[in-house]
Amino acid sequence: MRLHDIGKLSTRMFKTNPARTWLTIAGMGIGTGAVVTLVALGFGLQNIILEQIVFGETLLSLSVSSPLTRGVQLNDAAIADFRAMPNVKDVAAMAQFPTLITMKGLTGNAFVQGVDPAYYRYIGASAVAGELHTEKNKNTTTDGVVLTKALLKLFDIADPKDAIGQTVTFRVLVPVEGKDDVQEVPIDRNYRVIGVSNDDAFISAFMQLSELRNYIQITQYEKAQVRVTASEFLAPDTALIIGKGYIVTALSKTVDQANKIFSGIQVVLAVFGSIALAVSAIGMFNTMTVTLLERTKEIGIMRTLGASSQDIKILFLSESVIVGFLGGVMGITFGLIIGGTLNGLVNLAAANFGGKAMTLFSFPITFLLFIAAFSAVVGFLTGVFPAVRASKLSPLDAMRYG
Amino acid sequence: MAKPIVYIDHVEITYNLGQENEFKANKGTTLEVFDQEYIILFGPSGCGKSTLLYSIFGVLPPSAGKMYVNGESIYDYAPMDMVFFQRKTMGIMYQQFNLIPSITVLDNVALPLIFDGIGPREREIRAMELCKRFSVDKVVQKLPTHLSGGQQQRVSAARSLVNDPQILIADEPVGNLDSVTAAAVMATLDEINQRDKKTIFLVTHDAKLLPRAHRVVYMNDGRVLRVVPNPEKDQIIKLEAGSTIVTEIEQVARIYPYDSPKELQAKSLINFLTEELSFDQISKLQKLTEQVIEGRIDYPQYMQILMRSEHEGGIGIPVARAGIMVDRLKLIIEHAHDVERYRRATAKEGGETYIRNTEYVNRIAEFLSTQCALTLGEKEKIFFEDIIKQRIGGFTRKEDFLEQIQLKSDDGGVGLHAKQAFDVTRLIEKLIALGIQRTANH
Repeated sequence: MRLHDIGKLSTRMFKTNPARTWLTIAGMGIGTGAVVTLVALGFGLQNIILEQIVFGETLLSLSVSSPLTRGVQLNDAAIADFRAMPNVKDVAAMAQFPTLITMKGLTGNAFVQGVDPAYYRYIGASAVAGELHTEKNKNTTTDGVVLTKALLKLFDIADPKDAIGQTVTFRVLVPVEGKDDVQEVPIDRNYRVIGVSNDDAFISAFMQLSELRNYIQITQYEKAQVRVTASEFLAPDTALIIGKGYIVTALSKTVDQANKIFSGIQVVLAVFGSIALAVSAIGMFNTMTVTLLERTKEIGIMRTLGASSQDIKILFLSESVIVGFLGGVMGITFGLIIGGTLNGLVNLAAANFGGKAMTLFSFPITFLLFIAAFSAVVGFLTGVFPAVRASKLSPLDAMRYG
Repeated sequence: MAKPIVYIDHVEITYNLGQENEFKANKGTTLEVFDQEYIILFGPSGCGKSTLLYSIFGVLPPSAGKMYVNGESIYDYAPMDMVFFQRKTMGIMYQQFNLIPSITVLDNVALPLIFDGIGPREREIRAMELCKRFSVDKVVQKLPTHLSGGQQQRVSAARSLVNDPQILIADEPVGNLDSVTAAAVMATLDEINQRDKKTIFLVTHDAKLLPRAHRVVYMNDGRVLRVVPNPEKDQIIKLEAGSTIVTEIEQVARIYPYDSPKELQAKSLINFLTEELSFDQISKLQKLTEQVIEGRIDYPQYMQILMRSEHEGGIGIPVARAGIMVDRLKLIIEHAHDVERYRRATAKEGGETYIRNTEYVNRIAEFLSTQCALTLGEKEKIFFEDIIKQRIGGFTRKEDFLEQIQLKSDDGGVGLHAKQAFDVTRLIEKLIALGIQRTANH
């Protein structure tokens, strides 16, 4: 038989029994829709978490700090040493000191961090208002500082935009070498706020490392971000740096763990969805079996007109695959409608109550394609048994039966 | 001699073999059929004729014996070879037409080609050609359910030929059709046999169709009783002179299709001993009388044909005899009307008898008395009419009637002696037979 004819003969149920066919498809659609919606929720949640931490180069960066025992120091020599390691593209160091910070006549305790522009990328910081230091603007922003969102809370500034352009001054507390004391070093320069970063936990202000050096002698860095050239070098370079006596944390590990957790959550959600899908698959199986009984006579006639048992099997299977696939497409549509509506509602609520807009349900295209293919497979499976039975019917018995 | 196209070699067919409800539908059949023969498998229902037909078609394996088509034992075929055999060699027509209701007429006709993987253009040309030939080309885009029975069977004929098979099998193809449509479909089959040169196996229990075949296979109770060449058709296989002889039995068999050869021989003899008319004359008379009963010819015409000599297309009955026959027929038909009217009137009035109904019975009693030369007293007349009412009303049986009219009038009877009673019973039964049938038809 030709493909075109198989298609023609196995879509007759839309003409002969449209109500039942569409109901079966709708049944499959609801089952698949449940799977799609729940798994999309899993994807959505995962993305919401990961969006906070994953920015391009961040995953390729190792965060290196010196251990409290001070056996090794994170100084310029160490930085140069890292730079010389194989497969290291760049190293960005960060020096950090406690400081008193004054803005709008108020003074508070915070940290001042001296960084190179690349550092922001390596830790995954982004600006929620204004801009960060970049390679381009670093010459014009020597007097610029970037505040964390957490710092704004200290000064009771609700909207990050209000902070842009404010003037701040620092009095840095530098530890005295060899003593447990600190020395207050006032920095005699007014800085303007050029941006606010998305960090809402750490109370800190960033300025350029070179600017900080103008006032304070930096012998040791708080942290260094080692950017490797590719992800496969994360593990070996981590081992190498740990071997030198430093502490290394990699964001990629955290992300891996988060992914694992969310895979687990998705499996749980998918299992719940699959229950719905199983129910509809059983319904579809039932329909296919009834169809078989109804068509028994027709099968007999077709067999006596030269259809082989293989032809009969193909006709049945393609019918169930078509029903399954359309059920999948309908399920995807259901899922998109439900997810889209809920996303809309959540965002509407977020807009009204000042929360952050987010995508609670996420539908990666590969996932949708997988579901479409998977539902066709489910259709195929529900069709196998009736198809085999149909193909085994003796033509004469089949005709007598009708 | 040419090799047979179908050779049925001691075939036995058993349903539910080895189970409690095991049933042997064919108890050993041997038959040779030659290319282009038109064979009718004939017999009462349940005689195993359809079973044999489907076994030839390849869907009912024999429990013993072999089925050869074109010299090959078809039940030794691999499954796919069997499919090809059914696709290429066999075509089939059913009593129920068995068209697929969900696809168009054209697709139905082309269906065997679809399964064969023939491209749309080629198969449409072929299917359309056959639809034109069987005059269903105007309805090719309709669904089969929108067609009349005759059209559906012609579509089915087209379908059976679309693969250009060697052998066409037809299972009671006109069993569901009215006589006019049936005749048209049968003519189609004749044409398929003669023009397309297909071998045809037709299963029927309708004796009317027998003259169309080259040979008729009479079957009963799972056995072939006899195979009879049709003297009215040129045989495909030239038989040597004297090897078969067509006897009167074949003619009697058309009148009594389900009788065994022994019974037919007895009937032939009885006919000679008791009647002056030959079976030929009886057959013609039967057809002619049917026409009178149906009112298609009137009595003078009937009389004329009765008297006309046989070679002029009449029946050749002597004038005096013909006159008596027509008179009696007329009276019987008239009084059969009375039976009919009486039954219709009583049925309407819930079984109660009114004066008008009494009048019908009156007339029937009068007729019976005259015909059988009865002389009845007043009392007997009343009893006679009562007994007649009971019989034509359907409250007593023929035997009761015969008994009652022989009773003494003191016992509520008419007091006829045995011979009179027999004649009266015979006559009234004729009236009832004719009258009841008419009631049912109206």
